Amino acid sequence: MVKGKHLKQTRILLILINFIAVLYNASLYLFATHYIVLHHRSHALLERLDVIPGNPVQLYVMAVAAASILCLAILAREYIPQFTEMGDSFIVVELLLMIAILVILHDSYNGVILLVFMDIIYHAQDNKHWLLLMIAGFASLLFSNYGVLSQVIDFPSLDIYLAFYPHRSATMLSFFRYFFESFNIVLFIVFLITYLMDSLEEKQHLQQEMQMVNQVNSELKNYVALSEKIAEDRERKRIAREIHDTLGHALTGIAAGVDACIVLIDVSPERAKTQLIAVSKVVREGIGDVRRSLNKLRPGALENKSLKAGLTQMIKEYEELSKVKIDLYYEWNHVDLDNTKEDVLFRVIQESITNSVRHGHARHIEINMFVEKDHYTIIIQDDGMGCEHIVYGYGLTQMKERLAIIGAKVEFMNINGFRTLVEIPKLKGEDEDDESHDCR
Amino acid sequence: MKTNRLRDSLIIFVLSALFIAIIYTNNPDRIITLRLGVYAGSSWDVPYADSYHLVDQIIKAFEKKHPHVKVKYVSGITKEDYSSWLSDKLIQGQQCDVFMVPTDDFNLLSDTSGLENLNSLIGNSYTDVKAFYPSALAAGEVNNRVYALPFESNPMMMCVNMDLLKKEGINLPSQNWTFQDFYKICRKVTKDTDGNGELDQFGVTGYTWQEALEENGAALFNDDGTECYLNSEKVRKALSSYARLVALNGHIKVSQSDFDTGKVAFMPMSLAQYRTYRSYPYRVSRYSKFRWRSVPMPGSSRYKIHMPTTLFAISSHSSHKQAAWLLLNDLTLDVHNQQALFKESSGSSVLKKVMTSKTTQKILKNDNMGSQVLTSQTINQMMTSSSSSPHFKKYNEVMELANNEVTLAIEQGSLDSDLPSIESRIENMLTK
Repeated sequence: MVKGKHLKQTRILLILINFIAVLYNASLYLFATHYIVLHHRSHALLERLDVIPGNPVQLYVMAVAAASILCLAILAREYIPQFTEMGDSFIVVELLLMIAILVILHDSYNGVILLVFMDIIYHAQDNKHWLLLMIAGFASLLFSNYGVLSQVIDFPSLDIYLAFYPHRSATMLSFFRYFFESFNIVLFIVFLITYLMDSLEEKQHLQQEMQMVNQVNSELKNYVALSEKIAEDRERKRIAREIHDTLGHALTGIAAGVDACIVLIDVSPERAKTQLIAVSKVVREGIGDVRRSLNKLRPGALENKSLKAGLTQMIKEYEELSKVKIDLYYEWNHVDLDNTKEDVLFRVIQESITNSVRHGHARHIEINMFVEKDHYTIIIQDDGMGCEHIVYGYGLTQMKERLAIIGAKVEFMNINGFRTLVEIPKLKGEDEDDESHDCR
Repeated sequence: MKTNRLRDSLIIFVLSALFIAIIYTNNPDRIITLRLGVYAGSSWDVPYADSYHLVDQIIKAFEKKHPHVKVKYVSGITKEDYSSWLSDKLIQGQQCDVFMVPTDDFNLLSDTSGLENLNSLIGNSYTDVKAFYPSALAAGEVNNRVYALPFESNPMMMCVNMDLLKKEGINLPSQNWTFQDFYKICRKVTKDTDGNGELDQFGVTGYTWQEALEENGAALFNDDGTECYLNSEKVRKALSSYARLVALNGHIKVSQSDFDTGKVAFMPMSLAQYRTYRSYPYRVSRYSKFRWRSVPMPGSSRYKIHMPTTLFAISSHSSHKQAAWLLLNDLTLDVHNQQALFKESSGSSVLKKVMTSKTTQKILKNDNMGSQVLTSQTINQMMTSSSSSPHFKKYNEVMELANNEVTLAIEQGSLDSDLPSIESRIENMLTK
């Protein structure tokens, strides 16, 4: 989560307070021992202690060292990237240091548990075992709160040391001890509240962003629909104009020529014949114009390209757009089909790929283009979920109709996904230009 | 990758530091220094000219045997200051490796885990430890765990004024005499000899109610110090016997000087006092007027009599425990050193072998008092039939209270009515 400024400040303050508290408690052991020795009360102290204490100077050095390492470890983990990645092992080190401080300070200050607890919560999302660590932290809190540690191990209690000071000094010294402890708890609570508020805020923020994204998405959809509509209109207008310009012109001419022929055929069959030749010329020109118009409607990918190049480019674009893997096995290198056939086949293959992705959610598509004895075959196989009953919707019907124009058959099958099988009859001399007239 | 390299180098650093530390501490050629804690003078509040002479001798021999160990001690600490000095060192974490445990502080130190449990160090050489008098060993033992080894004991005995008994026609009490025998003799000798209406001859001086309890076989506490038996039938009976004994002297307070002037038949005396008193100038000034002898305390053949013992222990915080154990052995278990101790000091050795040795018999004979006054057999018997005081932390504290209250109750003659309340006060202290 994004960590807020206040959260970071509370955390730093918590680390600081704990360090001071450890320092204070360790100093109390050191100075109280000194005071007691100075006032010849050490025997009285021993009589009241449950266990003989260790060297107070050693205690001081060890406590300060352990607290320093703990604080540095907590800070380093956030600010040094190499350590941040070590996550869980760092928390284990922190827990060990925490136990060390508890034992070194003879259980006189257990605020460090809250400190480590805080760090576990702070990095909760980066840790895989955060729940386990939370339980460990909570258990140690419970243990120290009920003095379980001091019941398992005998500790020289700091309160006994302080009782040797004059009443007023002892009260003052104890006051600061409890002050640090309480302040630590208050800071921990503030940390928790800040953390909760931060995560709530972040959640709200995320929701807002989601809403915005949804809105933008629907606007985009509308826009796409609109531009499709515009493009469609424009195309329709263009086709209308073409028809008007080319066919209109030719047909009007043909109509006028034929009318003249009707009159002339009785008067002068010779002139009528001449007229019909002229009409025939116009018809041929019209056919040429229509063909040119249709040529303008060719798929963009096929413009000035061979079928193979067009398919390869289309496949490449598709692969880039979606995560589908498409393999093309093209064995038609020596085949030369006319443009119309190529257009239809291109559209059919394109439609099949679209269907595989959109309806079949396929990850892999294989396109095989073979040459058989008397026909050409295209097999498009995907690994999608296919469908139990093949329903002929707009896409499939369109495909069937288009293929019928070029005399081809199509079959749709449900085998290991979805399979489209197209068979195009072979025409003699498919590479001959004039042969192609037959299928126009 | 970077993280792994960083972690690996950290692990390598820690491991190599550990390795170096292990190599260093286990280096057999490393010279280590043992700190020894001892006080000047005698443990038994009697003059002792040069107590460091023996310590220096033991250290010298020890260092010769173990060239890689040096022993150091601070001299000039009196017995009075020692407990306080030791406490200072203990709470500052600068305790000596091996130190003398003041009799009164043993319970405190063993209870607060200041003393090393020696069982593992004793290990297989447990038969060596059997060389001690059981009661001397028991002085440093709590719940079968040995925390300290005995160094010197000071058995109690009863001095008898032979001339006074002979004058009254009473035989010297046998070694097996009981408290009742003792009381009978006291009653017999307590009298007004010059006819002025006031008592001027007495049975005993310096005899305490605690001794009366022991000699009647009554214990005041259980071993753990959780229960007090002050108001029990046995203790009541022993205390009333003691009160009767005290009552024999009427209102007169009999002092030690009365014994010295020959007016008292019995006086309990420790071995240390006995051995010091014989030396110049005490002997000449005090004991030239009458013949005297030492016998075991009454009842000691049936019941165990308390015997103070000084102990040496190893600090639980010591970092050279093995070397400390060797030094401790030399101090306590070495027959040669213990024999020297019996010669130089005024107490008794804690080893049976030393106390029954010919040298010991010779030392006792050479005191110009006649061989019959105190023999090594008598001491041996006293030490064999003695016990150590209970081992619980508050023993000294509750004994102080009990002593004040019981003494007051005996003086005021209100024992019967006071005992229940004293007992409940003691039990309160124990359970606190």
